[in-house]
Amino acid sequence: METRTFRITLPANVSTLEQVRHVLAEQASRQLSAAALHELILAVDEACTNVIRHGFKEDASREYTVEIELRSCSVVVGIWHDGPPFEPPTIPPATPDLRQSLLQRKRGGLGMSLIYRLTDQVEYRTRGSLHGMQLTKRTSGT
Amino acid sequence: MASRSFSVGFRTSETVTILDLQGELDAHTASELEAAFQHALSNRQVNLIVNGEHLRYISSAGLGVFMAYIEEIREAGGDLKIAALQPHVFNVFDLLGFPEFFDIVSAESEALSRFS
Repeated sequence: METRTFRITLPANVSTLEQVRHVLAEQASRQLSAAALHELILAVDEACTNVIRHGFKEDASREYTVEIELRSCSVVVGIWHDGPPFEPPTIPPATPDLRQSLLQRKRGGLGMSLIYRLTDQVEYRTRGSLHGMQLTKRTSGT
Repeated sequence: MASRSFSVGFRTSETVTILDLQGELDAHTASELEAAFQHALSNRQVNLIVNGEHLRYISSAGLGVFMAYIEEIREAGGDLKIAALQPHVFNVFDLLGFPEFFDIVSAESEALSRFS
């Protein structure tokens, strides 16, 4: 099967997340099981939320691009932006200590953990002035 | 602006307030659940059940709202119980260890009986 690629560029606003999920579901539903598709959608949602909130501080005049590659054995989704690059963690982030988070009424820190737990591979890339996080979900591993 | 993809309905059953979640809970819509919890707390409604039968999706932003309010609700003498989640939504709670700290049950009736 040839790799098919689909791109969508959106303003850095959390109101676009629903559209990202919808497009990804439409593009990848034939290649992934329902469970695997839901996991990939959630991981991509978390990555996009990080770009919008932490990269662009919700400045809707900025844009990010979601690139969906349908490969023979995997679906690869890149989230590209020209905001500040994220520092790749040296080891996969551990799940935050929920007990401590609750006591401190902290609500963050779960997104990166979900991204790493729900995908088969996380890569950080640059392309010219763009920074990207590429998430891979293997079709054979579903 | 209210989102079309998520809404919260309120019901009461004796001393318990039931929040019916519908739609998709993400970084955009999480503020609506937050407003619902604030509304309940400001009306001294601290025995809360979240019914997730019609909740189709949750991301960490939605989970974060539960994390932010549970202690306040318990300190006020109440509790927040989560009921009737769809399996794929429950899996997200489960993946991050929520069942250890939240009362998550399969049916609303079970959550109600735990308040009585």
